[in-house]
Amino acid sequence: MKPVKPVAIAGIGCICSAGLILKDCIDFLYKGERHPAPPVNFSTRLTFPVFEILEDFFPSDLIKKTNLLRTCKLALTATLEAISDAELDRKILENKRVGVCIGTNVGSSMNNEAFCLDDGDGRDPFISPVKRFLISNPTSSIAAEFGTTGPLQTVVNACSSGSDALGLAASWIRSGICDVVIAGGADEMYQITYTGFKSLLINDDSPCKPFDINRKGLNLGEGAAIFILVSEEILKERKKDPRAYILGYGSASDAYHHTKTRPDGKGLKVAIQEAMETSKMVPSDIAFINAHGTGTLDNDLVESCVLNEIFPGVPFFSTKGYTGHTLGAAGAIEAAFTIACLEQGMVPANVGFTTPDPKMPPAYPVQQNSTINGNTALSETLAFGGNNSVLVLSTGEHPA
Amino acid sequence: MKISIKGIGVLGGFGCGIAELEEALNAGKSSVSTVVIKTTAGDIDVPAFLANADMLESFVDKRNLRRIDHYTRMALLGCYLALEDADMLDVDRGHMGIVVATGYGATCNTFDLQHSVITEADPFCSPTQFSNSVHNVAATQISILLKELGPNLSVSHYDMSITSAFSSACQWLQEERVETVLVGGVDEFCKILGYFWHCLYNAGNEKVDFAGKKSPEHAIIGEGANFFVLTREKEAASPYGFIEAVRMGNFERKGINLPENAAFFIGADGYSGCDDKYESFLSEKAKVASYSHLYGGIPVGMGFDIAIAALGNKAGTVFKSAESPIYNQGRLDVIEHDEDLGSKRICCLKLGAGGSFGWIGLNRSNF
Amino acid sequence: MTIKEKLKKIIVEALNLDDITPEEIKDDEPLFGKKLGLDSIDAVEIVFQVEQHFGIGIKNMKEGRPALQSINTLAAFIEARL
Repeated sequence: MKPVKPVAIAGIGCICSAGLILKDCIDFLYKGERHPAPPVNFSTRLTFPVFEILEDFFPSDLIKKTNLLRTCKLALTATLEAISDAELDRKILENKRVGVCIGTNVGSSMNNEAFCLDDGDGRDPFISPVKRFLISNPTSSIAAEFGTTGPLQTVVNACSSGSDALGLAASWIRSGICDVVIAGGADEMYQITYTGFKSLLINDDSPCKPFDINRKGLNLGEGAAIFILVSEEILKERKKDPRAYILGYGSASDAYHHTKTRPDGKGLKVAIQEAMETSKMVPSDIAFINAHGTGTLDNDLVESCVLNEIFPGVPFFSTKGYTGHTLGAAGAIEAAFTIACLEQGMVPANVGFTTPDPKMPPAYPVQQNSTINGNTALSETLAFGGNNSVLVLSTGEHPA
Repeated sequence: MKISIKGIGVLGGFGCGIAELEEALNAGKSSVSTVVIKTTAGDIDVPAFLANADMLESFVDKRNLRRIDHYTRMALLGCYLALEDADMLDVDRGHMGIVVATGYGATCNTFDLQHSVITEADPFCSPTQFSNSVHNVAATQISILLKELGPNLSVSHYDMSITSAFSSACQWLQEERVETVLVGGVDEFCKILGYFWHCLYNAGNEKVDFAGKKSPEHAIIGEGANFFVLTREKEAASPYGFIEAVRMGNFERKGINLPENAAFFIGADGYSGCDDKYESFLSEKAKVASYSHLYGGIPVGMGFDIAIAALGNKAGTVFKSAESPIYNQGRLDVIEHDEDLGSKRICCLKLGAGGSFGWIGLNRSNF
Repeated sequence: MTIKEKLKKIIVEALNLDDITPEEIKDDEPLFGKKLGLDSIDAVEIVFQVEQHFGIGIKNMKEGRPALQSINTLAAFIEARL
């Protein structure tokens, strides 16, 4: 795979149960706390814990439309933080070639409860909910709110959507079709996914335990993370160093099974190889790996084997124990955490891990907050259907 | 560098495969089915262009299809037909990417699931049904059955899904990330959509967008799949022509730059609320055609227009448009009979919800 | 219909095994062996079907695995909880 040019990240916004802005999220991770609880955003008889955002987070005075999906509100909230972090004049968003590329699951479904109730109660569905569905996804709501005029893409690659959106958006900057891209992922806590994961028997009924021998599955979460990617030209105009860079991206399919991780990890290995080759990095350049680490039996086993094989001795951890699995947002949220950790020079403990699994290689996730050396790291996501996506991110200097 | 179309696989109301699409183009019509939908006001008959994916069993062992629903079957069949057309079924395809566009996703399955989980507050749902409702299910099954480990992307951006998918497919080829891309769209009919058509176009109590200009074929809900094998070549060599440009933007906030010397295939299918806006973006007497009378109102309809453009490139012909297209108030030159394509390029244009637009330009190999 | 007959019918119908009849499934043959060719999604689908038809929940695969060995083990698991 040919090396590619680094793409600058001018600003980042992040919201999840760990915090409403990126700084609060990362502080929360270093504290080692977590508070999963049964869902309150919808009524259910199930009691599997989840990581919901309980605060009223939406700055409705700043945003034109409030009649939006929760997923869109999450995306817009993170976008506002990212734009402010980037110190980007909002006029640029209207005048330059600005694209929007967002990964989501729920944000592209017909997840309108009222619409469903109308259908199911013997009443007929109304047109307005259908029409609302047709135009309401986080990508469109960001484009409408900020008046962008460039390309739009909504990535629905299940759990790797957020990483894929960032990797694809970087290509838009590199190929010159955009000056700025607003990219990332967003997903809300949603009854169908909650029940669906339960039916697959991969929900843990207690706080999840990534990479631990007693892991029973995942907890779901919700949130969004948005990145402002900019071209060299915008970077020069802005006269401010970028916060970080996307150095490389790789993605590959398992071509194996639509819910089961491929046991030999071949898809993941191909994705890692592509990400490393495009970023011109070798394993010794990598300071740490933000692993997918959902807490399911299969995922964690395959992932730890692959990491041990390609990156022996490189620290790794999962942040799912702090945030839950935020599905379409996960890749973006974890990319944001990866950059924040590089900036702080410290990685958080992999919460939930206490006892190693003898089936895994004897390489354990980070067990306490640890300082790290280096300015480049990997963020990894594995998705439903066998999509594997890997980003190489860096806070070092990468002049074009 | 040229992005060539090497193979086409289509199915829809017109039938299955490019030969049946050509027949429909020549006949100027596809067969319409009638679906009966129960409503509180009694049964209603809704017309629909339905697709038959039975032919998939000639490509895939029946056992491997037992959990695969109609939505994914349509996508799979589109892929197999495209690979067969490209003569790439049983060869080493090299590193291949897969990009699947869908406007609605697996709608029937998703609605059933929502009905049981939300309406009945049922804490149980079928895991098979749940896994079939995830938006990337079609792309996943394609990679599994074709054993392709390359990059795999699903996009769902309502009526811009096809442009968005082609944009990434072409980008992957230009970046030399992959040697081949299997890219296309799929959407499924479901009763909710049928009822939506009824409310919009037949119930009499709703605003009809094009009063008096409706043709019987206009805006009938369609389903189907359209897939393409794209490759990167030094010189244009494929009879289907090559993809010159893929553009997306917003026509309300900024205009559209359209290519010169082009015939425009217009995606006016009755569902984006902008079928009457095309005229204002095209020059006087621009050559235009629309074909939604053959495939119906479907978010990934532009994929069929691309197939028709590619077939036109091969034949050197612009196929005749639907009669009395609703988007023309008289300024445009509608292609009423098959005519010589000449040196023209073809631009497939879609104006979409929220002011978004997408167009894909195709050109013939020998120009 | 006995529990075993009912289970066989459920498995054939819910898993859409149209190349085999319920009677062809033997009571003691492995459900996840070569002949039936079932996999992990089928396993959780059987769990879901057992919950729907018999009102008996299987919490996780640790509990499910021994029960899902054959028609015999599954029927015994259900009978013990009816």
